[in-house]
Amino acid sequence: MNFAAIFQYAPNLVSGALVTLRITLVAAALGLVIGLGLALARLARVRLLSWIAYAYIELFRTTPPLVQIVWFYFVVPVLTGHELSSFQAAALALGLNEAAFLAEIMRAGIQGVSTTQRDAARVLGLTTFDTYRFVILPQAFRIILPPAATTLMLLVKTTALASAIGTLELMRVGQLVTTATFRPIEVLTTVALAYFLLTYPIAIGARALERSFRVGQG
Amino acid sequence: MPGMVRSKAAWFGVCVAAAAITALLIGSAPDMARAAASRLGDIKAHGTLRAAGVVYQPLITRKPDGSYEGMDMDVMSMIARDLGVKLQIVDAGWDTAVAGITTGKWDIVPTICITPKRQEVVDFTDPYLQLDGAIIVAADNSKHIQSVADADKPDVVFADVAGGWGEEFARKAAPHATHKLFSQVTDADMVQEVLSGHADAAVMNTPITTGIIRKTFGDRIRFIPGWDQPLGIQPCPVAYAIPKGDEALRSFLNMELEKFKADGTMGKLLDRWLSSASLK
Amino acid sequence: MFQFGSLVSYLPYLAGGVPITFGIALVAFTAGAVAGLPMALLRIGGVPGLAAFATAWIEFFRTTPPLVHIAWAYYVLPQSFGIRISDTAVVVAALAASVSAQMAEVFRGGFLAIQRGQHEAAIVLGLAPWQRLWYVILPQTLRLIMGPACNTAVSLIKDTSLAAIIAVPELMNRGEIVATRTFRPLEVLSTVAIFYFVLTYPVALLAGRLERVSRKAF
Repeated sequence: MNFAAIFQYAPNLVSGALVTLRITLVAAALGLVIGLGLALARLARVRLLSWIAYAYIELFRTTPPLVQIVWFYFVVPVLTGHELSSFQAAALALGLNEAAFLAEIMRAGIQGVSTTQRDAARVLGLTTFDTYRFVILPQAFRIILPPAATTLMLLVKTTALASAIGTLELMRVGQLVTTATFRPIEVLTTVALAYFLLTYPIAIGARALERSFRVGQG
Repeated sequence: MPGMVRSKAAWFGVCVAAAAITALLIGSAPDMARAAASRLGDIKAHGTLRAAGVVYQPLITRKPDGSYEGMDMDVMSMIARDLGVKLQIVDAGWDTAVAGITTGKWDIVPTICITPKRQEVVDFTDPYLQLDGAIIVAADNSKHIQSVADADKPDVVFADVAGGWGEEFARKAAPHATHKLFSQVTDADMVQEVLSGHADAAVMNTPITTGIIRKTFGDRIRFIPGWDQPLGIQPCPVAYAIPKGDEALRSFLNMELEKFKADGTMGKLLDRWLSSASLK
Repeated sequence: MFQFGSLVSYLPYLAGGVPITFGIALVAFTAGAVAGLPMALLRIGGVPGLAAFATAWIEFFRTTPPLVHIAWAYYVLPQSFGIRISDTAVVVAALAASVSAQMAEVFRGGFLAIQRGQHEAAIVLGLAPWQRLWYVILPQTLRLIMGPACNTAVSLIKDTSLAAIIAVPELMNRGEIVATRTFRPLEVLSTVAIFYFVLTYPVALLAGRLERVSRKAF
């Protein structure tokens, strides 16, 4: 194994990693916002809302993200007449995908807060909005954190699929470097290491946060 | 059980929704194609000529930083300049090249072989190169493939670029062989497949690609029948693909290509890129 | 609507990818689950060297994308280790490794979820460590992890679509081929998505049902 051969392409790989991070951030933000809405819709008393949210969640959770990414890349321009760059298509598809997973996690978290809390809040005269804001969501957060962290790590890894539509993220740059150097093993090892460096801090951070919560509980 | 009923309803609803979306898309796609009278108008209005970023070494290659270079890149840049617009290369593979024209993702595809199947959905300029094909095998391949007949056996594995001209050629030449179809790959990757033993054979263009392979890999690769001997199974006239029925764009591009041929630009570019080419 | 007609004639070919997808998923999941249990035990076991190895294995496969695992196995196994196996076997091996890491964490979660009282009662009853494991901990763990295990299975079925990059003729690869034949990527992708939905939705439903059942047990 000769890593020196690919060393000259290190800047390319770094910029690929940065694109991976950017896609992750956009998709995570999109996923959080839409996911929260979906979770609340699932819990809504209006049957239709709950049902629509359910269909959305199941569709996105049961089909491969690869299919979703390529699909959005071709569909959105046809439907809206508005061109989409591969970065935008990937971020959009992954964000919508992420929303489905986060919705289920958040729903479990909200439902996990015991009903006595809800009742106590009602007795105290809090509005639904305030109940959610001050009682339910903060406690739900503790339940949501571990699976959400796992999902975020999964998101970072899933951005690798954006290479299929040509986004110049880490995996795609790796492919181009492989073609230029004929050294797939060295390149793949480096790429794997890079993904590890991107995701491992999330795992550690989440565990640290978890521990700080447990300390609070006593 | 209430849970069962709700899931059945959701299942049904989801299926209906999926079918509806599909039907909607099938209905809308042709309308999009019809709506653009000639792409020339759109190109000038947006100030951009979009080309599919297919890779065919050495006419178009891609560097690790994502940028493209090659003879066709130079030609397209000149065409864009003559049109007074910017050239934009959109990442593409041979499997999406033609579909990208019909769905409006790009305006032209460079370096593409004219085939009857493709002609059903897109139009082409006049060809500016004539290529044919030959089969390559690794010199150390234990299956001792010496002829096309040897290759036409089920235990022979071909590495083909999905949707590429080479795939059609390979299937016609060796219909009984096993064909592995890859997306988002280039000829260089297929050569690596053959060299590493993952595949036994592949189809390459003669004489350009085979010439480069000979130069880069020497006698590690054998050619059937020979590096400069085409099999003639399906020739490859190289041209630009354009939207179907777009006569205005076609005439303009043909004019440009004629101009470049006549004033020797094409010849010079071809020489320049071929002489510096290796399969990278 | 005539384009849909040309797609219909390819449906049998597409459907032929389903058994391959299913087969890959089945073998990879079984191998991964079987390997995951000892990994989880090693990790919490307390033997320093083995625990470190198990932790490294789990963290590596959880933090790197399965796409990288497949590509790495495809190039490294023959060139560096001289192991020549079929492409399908490469995918199964890579995915099984990934699943083993995920299942190890699932098992670990199950172990931790069993109330401490169970562990202590088993010790008080004078059971040897392996007896504690076999008669007390494992049966309860298996019941607890059924739900998360099914979720891992759903992910796996979707990840089999990655086999397309090394041209294994499973569902996604066949979809790509049909798309190049018909020049209609959208319609083909939608059909492929529906296929995956049909494959994964029942498993996802099962996961939900199992999760509810296991929660009731406690």
